[in-house]
Amino acid sequence: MSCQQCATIVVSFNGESFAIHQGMMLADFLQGRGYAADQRMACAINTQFVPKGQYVSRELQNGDRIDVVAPVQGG
Amino acid sequence: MSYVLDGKTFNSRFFIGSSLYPSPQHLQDSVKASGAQVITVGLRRLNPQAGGGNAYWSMIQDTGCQLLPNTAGCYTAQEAIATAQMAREIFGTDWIKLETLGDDYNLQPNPFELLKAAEVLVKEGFKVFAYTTDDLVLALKLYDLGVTAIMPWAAPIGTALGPINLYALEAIRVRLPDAFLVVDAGLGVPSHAAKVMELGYDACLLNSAVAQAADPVKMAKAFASAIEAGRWCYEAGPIPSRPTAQASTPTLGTPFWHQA
Repeated sequence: MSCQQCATIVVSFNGESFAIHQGMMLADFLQGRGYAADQRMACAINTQFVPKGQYVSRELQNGDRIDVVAPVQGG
Repeated sequence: MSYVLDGKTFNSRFFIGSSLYPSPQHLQDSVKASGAQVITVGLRRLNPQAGGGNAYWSMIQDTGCQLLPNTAGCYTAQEAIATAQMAREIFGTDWIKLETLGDDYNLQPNPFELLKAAEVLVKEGFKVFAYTTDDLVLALKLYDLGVTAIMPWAAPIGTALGPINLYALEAIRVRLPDAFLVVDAGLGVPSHAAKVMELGYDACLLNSAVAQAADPVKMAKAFASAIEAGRWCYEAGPIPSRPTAQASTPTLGTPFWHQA
C-alpha cells in the first residue's frame, strides 16, 4: 500500500541535506527549523527569491536547494 | 558639501562599511565619528537559534544611516539578483550595492555578470550602486543602464594600496561628469581618499581601513576630514601644476636689482 504522506524527498537547507515528507510546504519546513514568523530573514530556492507571502503555498520538491539569510555586517 | 541622491539630501560624502570592527561598540562609535549617513550591510546564512540577525539589525537601525545592502560573495548575475531581492525584503530599501566576484585571487568584479545583473535590477526598480573595476568602458555601460552610482575600486579590496590607477579613475570622472561616482575598496590612509575626492569623486566607501586600524574611531575621524578636504579642493578648483618655478611675490620693484 502506498502513502503519499509517507514518501520522503531530500532537500538542501543552507548547504545541509534533510529528508522530509513529500508535499511539505516551505512555511512548515522553516517553522520546523526554528524560524519565527517575525524573524528578519529572507529565502531563496534554487537561487530564486521566494517572497514571504509565498511560504505557505510553496511546496518543496525533491532536490530543492533552500537558502535562508539574515542581516549581518557587510562592507 | 550637501547633495541629493535618490531624492534624499545627504551632507556626508563618507559611506561606511559595518564589517570587521573589533566590537559592536567600535562599530557604533566609528560610524558616529565618521559622520557617515550611508552604511553597508550584508546577508548570510544564519542559525535561527542564534537570533537570526535581529540583534545586529537593531544596532544598525540605531545608527540612523541609510542602509546599503550588498551582494558580497555572489559570482553569477542570478545569485546577485536573488540576493538583492532578499535584501530588499529584509532591509526595506531599493538600494543595493551590486557585487559580482570574478576572480578569487584579487576578488576582482566580474564585468559580464555585473552588467547582466544591473540590467535586471534597474528594471525591477532597484537603486543600483555598482561595484566595479576602474574600466572606463564598463563604467560607460553601467551608466547607460541607469545605475544610481558607479563605484570603481581604487585597488583590490582590503589591500590598502590606495589608487593604483589615477588616470583610469580620472578618465571615468571626465567621461561621466553627471554620474554619481564613489571610490570603493582599496583605500588605506586618508590621503588616498583626499586624492580621489580631489579628482571630483562624489563619495568614498570605506570599511577595512577604518575597522582594522589600531584606533578605528580616530581613523574614522581622519578619513572624514580627508574626504571633506578633498571635496572642498575639487569645488575650489586647484591651480594646474607646472614644471617651472613661478615666484609668488611680485618681481616688479625687487630691491637691489640691477640690469646686467
